[in-house]
Amino acid sequence: MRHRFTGPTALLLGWILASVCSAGAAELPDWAVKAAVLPTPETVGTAAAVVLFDETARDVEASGLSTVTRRVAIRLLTPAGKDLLRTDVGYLKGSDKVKGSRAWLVRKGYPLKAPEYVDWVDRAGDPYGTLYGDYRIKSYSRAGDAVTGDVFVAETQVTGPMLTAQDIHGWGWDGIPVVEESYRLKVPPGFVIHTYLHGSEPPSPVESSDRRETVWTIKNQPFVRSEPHAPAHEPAQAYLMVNIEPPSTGAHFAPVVLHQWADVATWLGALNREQCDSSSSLTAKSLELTAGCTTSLEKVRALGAYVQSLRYVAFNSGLAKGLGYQPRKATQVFSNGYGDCKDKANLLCAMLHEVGVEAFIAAARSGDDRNVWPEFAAASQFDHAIAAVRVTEPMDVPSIVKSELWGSLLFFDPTAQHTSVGDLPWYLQGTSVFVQAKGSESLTLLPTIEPKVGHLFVRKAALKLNRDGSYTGDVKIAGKGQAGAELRQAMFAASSSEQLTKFATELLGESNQSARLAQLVRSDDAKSGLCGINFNLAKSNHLQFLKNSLVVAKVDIFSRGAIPALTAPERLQSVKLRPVAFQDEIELALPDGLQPEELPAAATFSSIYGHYERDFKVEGRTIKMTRRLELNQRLVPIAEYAALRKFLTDLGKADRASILLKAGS
Amino acid sequence: MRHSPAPARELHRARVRRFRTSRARQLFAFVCLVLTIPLEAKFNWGKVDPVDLAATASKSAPGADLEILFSHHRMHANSFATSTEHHNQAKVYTPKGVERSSVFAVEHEKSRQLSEVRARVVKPDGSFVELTKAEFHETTSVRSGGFELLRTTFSFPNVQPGDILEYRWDEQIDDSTGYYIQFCQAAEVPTREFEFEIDGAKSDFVLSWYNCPTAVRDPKLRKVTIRNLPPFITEPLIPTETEFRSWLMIQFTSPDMRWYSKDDAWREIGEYFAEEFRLDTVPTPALRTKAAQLTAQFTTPEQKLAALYDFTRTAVRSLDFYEGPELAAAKKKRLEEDKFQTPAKTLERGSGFKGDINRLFAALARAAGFEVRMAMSANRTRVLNMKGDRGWMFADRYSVAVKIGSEWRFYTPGEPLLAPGLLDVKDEGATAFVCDEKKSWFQSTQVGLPPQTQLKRQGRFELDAEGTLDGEVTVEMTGHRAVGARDNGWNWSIEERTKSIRESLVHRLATAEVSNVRCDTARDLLVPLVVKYHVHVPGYADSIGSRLAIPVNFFEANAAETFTNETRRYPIFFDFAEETHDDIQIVFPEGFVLDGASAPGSVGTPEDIFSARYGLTYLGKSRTLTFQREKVIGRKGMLSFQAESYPALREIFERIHRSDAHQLVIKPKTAVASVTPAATAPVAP
Repeated sequence: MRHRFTGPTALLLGWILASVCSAGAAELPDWAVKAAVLPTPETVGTAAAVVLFDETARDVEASGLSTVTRRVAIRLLTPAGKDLLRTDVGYLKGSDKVKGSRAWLVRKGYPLKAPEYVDWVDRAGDPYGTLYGDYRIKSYSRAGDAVTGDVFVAETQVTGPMLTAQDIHGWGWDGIPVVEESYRLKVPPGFVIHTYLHGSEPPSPVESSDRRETVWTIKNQPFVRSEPHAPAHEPAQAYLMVNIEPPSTGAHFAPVVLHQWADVATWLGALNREQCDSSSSLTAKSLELTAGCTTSLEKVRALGAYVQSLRYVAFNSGLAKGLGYQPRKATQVFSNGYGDCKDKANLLCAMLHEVGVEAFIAAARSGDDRNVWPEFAAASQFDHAIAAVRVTEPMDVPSIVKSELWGSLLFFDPTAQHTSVGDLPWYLQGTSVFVQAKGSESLTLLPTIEPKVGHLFVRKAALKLNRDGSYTGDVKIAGKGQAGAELRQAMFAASSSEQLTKFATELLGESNQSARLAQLVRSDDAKSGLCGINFNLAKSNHLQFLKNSLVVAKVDIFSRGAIPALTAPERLQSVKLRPVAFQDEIELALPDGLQPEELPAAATFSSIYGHYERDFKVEGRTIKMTRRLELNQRLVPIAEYAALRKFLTDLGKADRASILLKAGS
Repeated sequence: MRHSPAPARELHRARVRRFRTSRARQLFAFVCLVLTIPLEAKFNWGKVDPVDLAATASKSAPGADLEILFSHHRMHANSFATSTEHHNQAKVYTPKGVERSSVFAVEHEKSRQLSEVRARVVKPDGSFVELTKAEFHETTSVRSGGFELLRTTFSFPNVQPGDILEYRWDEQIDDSTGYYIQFCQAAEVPTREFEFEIDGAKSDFVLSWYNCPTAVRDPKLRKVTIRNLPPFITEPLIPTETEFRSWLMIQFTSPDMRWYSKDDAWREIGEYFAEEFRLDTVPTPALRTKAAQLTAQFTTPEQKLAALYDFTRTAVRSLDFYEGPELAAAKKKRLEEDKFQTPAKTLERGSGFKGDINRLFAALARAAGFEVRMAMSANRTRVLNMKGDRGWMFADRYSVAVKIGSEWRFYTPGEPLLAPGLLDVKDEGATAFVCDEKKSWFQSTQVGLPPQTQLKRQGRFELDAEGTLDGEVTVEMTGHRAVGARDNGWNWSIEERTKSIRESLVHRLATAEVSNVRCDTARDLLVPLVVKYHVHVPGYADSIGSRLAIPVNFFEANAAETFTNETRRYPIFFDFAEETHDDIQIVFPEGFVLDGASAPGSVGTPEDIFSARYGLTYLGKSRTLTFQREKVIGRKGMLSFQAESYPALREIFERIHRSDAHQLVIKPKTAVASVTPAATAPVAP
């Protein structure tokens, strides 16, 4: 029999239900109750979710202990946004305490009971190649039971000692619209803060009456859809940097107080004083590797190649004590044969020292497009370490920077396994580094190496066409600078001949990928940094014969994949152009009975984004195509998008390469 | 009212009850006794073969960066637990081999002990460096609820090409349930010797291995040795590595796990599920009425089944597929209920899980007079053949088998995107076990034929004198094409759909601008999925002096080849059979005429497994080129091919690619004399 609830029973049930629901609602803190009912702004567009409220509050105690409370409310707008209904709390094992973490899924104003399978997950947050790490992440997700319209609400709290009396806060949710996002900082009485704000529309501070607490809030951040070739961080994005200054009587304040870069140099110098050590075996190895080297550059090449060959293994212990900025001792890294970026940079410095070359560790930022701000002296701005080698002889390599303090500094990244000495990884070019040496007082700008010097692919094909439409010939592809590093890395991974053939095939254009490759030979020259591959190529049915003795031949033997394609009419983010250059030379030797009928006209044009030129010539019975393309490293602002798009479209239009031949005697 | 339990079902439940109670007893005993586990005898490193110490390259796989010299695994039990001793030795040959030996990690549940973890590097001169205890680092990898996964990591010191790396550990395993699988064939690394030995286990077990042609078994010692395994290198279009990569399985069959007796498991499974399915799909009067109403206007069995199928997959909302606030309450309620929902209830509620909907379809089909059975199969993309004694372990896909005439066909209306007669690619051509109370049987499920998956692409374009193409595109999809497109884009906004089309085009046509995207049938499952858009492609045609060379097939212009490797190791499996119909019209710029047109060559005949037919016509008056292409993949449902067929297949696809890349040349009416660019050398006679 089916039960129906009527009259008093229904009232009773209604009362029970209402009590349960209100009890559930009572679990929600006030801020969450308010946030969960905020209307969805009309400007969210097709966003998958909207952040209704996001507050990060840091409360600093006089001892330097700090509690960070995070409150977040996110509404799901489409099922694609489910993965955003989660919270991740990062903490350091052994020093931080995660307490009071709570999260709810709110439907129509009331929190839902979590399914049995939902629980907090505590996991290691180690990046790739980590042997051990203090960093851990506690997560909680309601992606599994959420439906559109639900609001995920989380409140988390982490307490732990601050390493330095500083903080960096960035606004934004990677394009997800945000109704209100705040950063709140509270300091003990007598403390003062010094702040630096960046971004196109940075928030204004609001101080409490006792001047202990300051809040920065940004409202109504719009939806920005994901777009190809966008930078990881937009220059317009708002950032806040804070220095916390204890009173002169604040003797118990434990964090390191940094005002200027000189303070950073002093602190890191003290931290690393014992690390650049040596041993008899380290000395012997350094001398052995540099035997016969007469110049500093040769020594750096010899020792740099050795350190580059060591495995990348990180050991991230003691982060709360600052050991994240301290390399392991050079002797230990040498005997282990592995280390992370700072370990490798430090070992290289130690080995160079053994052969009479002075070198320093330089803190760098490894390519997430976020600026390093010179006015904010903080080691936490960096996430990478390279080597700065003091060279006295004149040398013509692009990675040298002249400095007042040390003269010429040759920068080298021993973690970038395939980048030669004298070159720099593309993601470090044009960024600022901090040389960790006594007296270091400012940042050093690394050079941006011209595409035709540091990112150049030289590709040559000499093909012999046959009357049956096939071709045979030789191909040479070489890379200089980062182009060489790219080829070197790919060929390092392709150890077997099968893998090497597969890689070489990918260097060819779509119409040539079924060609037969043979006699593949690698080449690599440490001195010039030129790395390449040569092979024979043969393909049948390359030519297309038309009825009136005309023959179409495609000359685009090589891949054109490196050119970005930007065809959307509008743009919401800057475009990050990676530097690249090509010098192509393709020769087609014609067989008897085929002659040139018509060739494309020469094309050449330039803009601030790059340069393009292509020409065809007939030399005897050979048609020769030359093509030169350069794309400059550049962050193209949104306002310039139309101009960039026109350049790329012009390039696409011009960069065609069919020719017409005519059969006959 | 539910039917009272039938004998097979009752027997099954009793077995499950017995298993559960004895598991609890075992667990208690384990907790009591684990504290007294005696220490294992201390391990001693053995000698390393001098030939291996001196080796500079792998003999079996020249060019290998690393070679596993041996990988030994020995399972043994004492009165308290079952554990496995792992011992591996590998030779490093190259710098890449050194790089691949960075961090080693052994993960294990906290409840199971890991002990005697040891590692050493042996230098070519025979000296070795053993890692100290401090060089092993244990950390909690993941912790949630009562579960905790620990990870022990280590890194070999100072590894150089020529070194031998050796490491071992003991690990407690859970042999009270399930199975233990180990791949013998390492990815991209050759293995000289893989050995698995079972001295004993707490539970009974069955040891089996697959794709190991060199396996040698010692029955007395219960040891299997496999030698000279090449590196496993995956290739495109192989559906499952378990069919081609060497692997080994130990299935534990403790008395408490014997839900089915050893020899006739399939018979028992068939009887049990057939009886349960029959009882669970009894047509009620309401179901009979509905079935009659749905099939009233149809005469053939196929039409009737299609009507029932379409009703169940569209009118009944699958709680596994659909999501949204309107179904949230129904899903919550359903989750809180007992596993079973009667077909009548599913019909009444208009929603249910996949299994509920399948049973509703079966009940309606029975009400309409069809014979139905439950069928189970393995996911074809993981296991191709599950007919073996223990193949039922892999049976995790369920369908409804319906008899039409003398044939049985399979249906899964619980998956709403699949049109009548079509199965998911995971189920097509799979070996299904059809459960019958008298005599169950194995049968291959049907494979969709090309007409069931159609891709119709239409383009109406104009070309200007600079080679810019502009026009409207319509793409219509049915069958598996529609399933894939709907599955990916179910929740897409027009903006997201535009982005997807743009991204799919720019790989071929870097300047293609997409606009005015329309798609009205994304969620109407009873009609084809149709997407329309406007496209503008500057530089579509190659400008050759005064002429233009035009790729005639807009939909394939600059597409990559299907097969580029010269050789093939493993068989080739296409995902599904399909037909593609391309219909393109291009109006040439005024003042231009065709210059020596030729048509692309057709490939194959209408009877061949693969074929591509091309048609080209030109109306000079309207300067309109019409291009048509009919391509068929997998005619007669033929989708899998031995590796020996690869050269022939490659050639067919190369020919199709060549025809797809066909270009036509147009020139200005005022005929052009042969020209070469300025500033070039004169053409040699």
